[in-house]
Amino acid sequence: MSENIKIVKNATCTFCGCVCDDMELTVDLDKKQIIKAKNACVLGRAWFAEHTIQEGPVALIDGKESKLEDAIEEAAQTLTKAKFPITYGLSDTTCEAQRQAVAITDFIRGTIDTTTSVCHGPSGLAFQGVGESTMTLGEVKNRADFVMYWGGNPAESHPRHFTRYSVTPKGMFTPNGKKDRTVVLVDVRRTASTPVADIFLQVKPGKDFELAWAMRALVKGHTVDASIEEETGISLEVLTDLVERMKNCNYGVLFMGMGLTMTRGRHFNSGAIMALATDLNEFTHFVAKPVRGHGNVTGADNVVSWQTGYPFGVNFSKGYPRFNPGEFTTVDTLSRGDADAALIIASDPAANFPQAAINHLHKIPVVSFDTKETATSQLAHVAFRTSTYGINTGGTAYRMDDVPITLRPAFESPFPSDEEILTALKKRVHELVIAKSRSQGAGTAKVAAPIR
Amino acid sequence: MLRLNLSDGDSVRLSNNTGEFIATCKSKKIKDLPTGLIFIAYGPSSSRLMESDTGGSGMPISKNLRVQVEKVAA
Ligand code: SF4
Repeated sequence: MSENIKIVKNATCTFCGCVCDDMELTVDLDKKQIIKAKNACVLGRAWFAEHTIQEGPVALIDGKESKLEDAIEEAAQTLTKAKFPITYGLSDTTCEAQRQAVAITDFIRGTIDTTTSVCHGPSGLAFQGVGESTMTLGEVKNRADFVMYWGGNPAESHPRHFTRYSVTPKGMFTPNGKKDRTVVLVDVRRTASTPVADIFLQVKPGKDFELAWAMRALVKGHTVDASIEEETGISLEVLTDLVERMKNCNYGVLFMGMGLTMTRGRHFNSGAIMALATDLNEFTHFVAKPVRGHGNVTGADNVVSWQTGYPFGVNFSKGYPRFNPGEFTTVDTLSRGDADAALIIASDPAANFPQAAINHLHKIPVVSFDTKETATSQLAHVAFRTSTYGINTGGTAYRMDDVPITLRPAFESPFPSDEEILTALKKRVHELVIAKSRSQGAGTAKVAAPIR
Repeated sequence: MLRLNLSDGDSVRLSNNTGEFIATCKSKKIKDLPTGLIFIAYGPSSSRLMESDTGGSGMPISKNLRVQVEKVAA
């Protein structure tokens, strides 16, 4: 260990949507490496340990090393020449960078979408349809005595969700931690999270909606047929007991996992859970919240919403924002072959999208932003290497309960931040759009003033 | 796995109307993973089996995909 050690207190882990802001990082400034991350879970420790500085060019054009300015010029030319450019990703970068991406998309009259569309986009649609009884995780810690996870495995995906917010922490009205709470888990299979639950419901695959709807009926005092067991795998007796516990708790919370949104039923599943929480407010205080995956996917929803009025899947081709999931969401614009250029920021669709969408990504010019080489950066026409948010750059990230958190970076990176490159790209795109508009004889440019 | 005469380490082809890929089997107790269910990690392999139709939602069905399982020579 070198002599040049720095301790960063109250740093934030941005690996998952828990956005834990109680990290104490020990940084070796000579090696530019975090050597200890006190309070981090196993995923957080890996996140901090793996983000070292690797040698490499800041930008590549068609796989060849390029100067940053040349790559920005090439990216700007590519995006402004396209007829149907799309912007996608944004869940692993700061809100400040996200807002630059919205402005670029507005200038090029493109379509902006975030990883939300393949995460809790369906919950976002359900929210618009049925509303959401919501909360912060601080309230859950201090008040919740009934905690239900539906379609998720937080022990492996969000390891500190149980210990920091919802199951074991001692709160104002839950002084005995887990002893003061009833924990319920609903899933199609047993996972590492199952042992935490007092009650485990193994629902049949694809039957979440039916189960939630039967629970709604019971909450409202309707009769449910015993055949619900054959349908969902859960007996009427178990369901009746569960619903009574829910009605009689002091503060209940339903956490929704992607087991609900990624299966048949999608937004209907999430909508049923949100409606169930609302129904339960006839009897007690009940809330529902999606468990969000990436570190700042919640920030992406917030930024795109406050800039355009809609959370994801937003198109600017008419000069004003239009929202239409299924038409303007990225899996659709790629699979149908609509997109003719893509700006992909801090995400890797080439590694997890349906094959038809990946195939189209190979056919169009892609501009990528990432801290490391990925399947998407490998196919990119212009690939930028950027510094890591929360480790090398400050800014803002939103926790999954919509609480904004200021990031405290640990050490400097030789690579620029997403925000820096996107700001430069926005400037150049704006110049090109104005020049194009003038050359088309518009006289004065019909281009919106830059979004600040 | 018993029904298909499969053991740990065997290679299987998982396929549907969208695509296919070869996976290696690892058994689980029925209590943990019920009969008829296979668990695979989300990523390049699952991409090959995912349809691109999002049903107007933006979300492709990424879990609970129906697949055919065939044993293949290693
Ligand atoms: S729970 Fe998530 S945010 Fe918290 S330390 Fe672990 S990976 Fe990081």
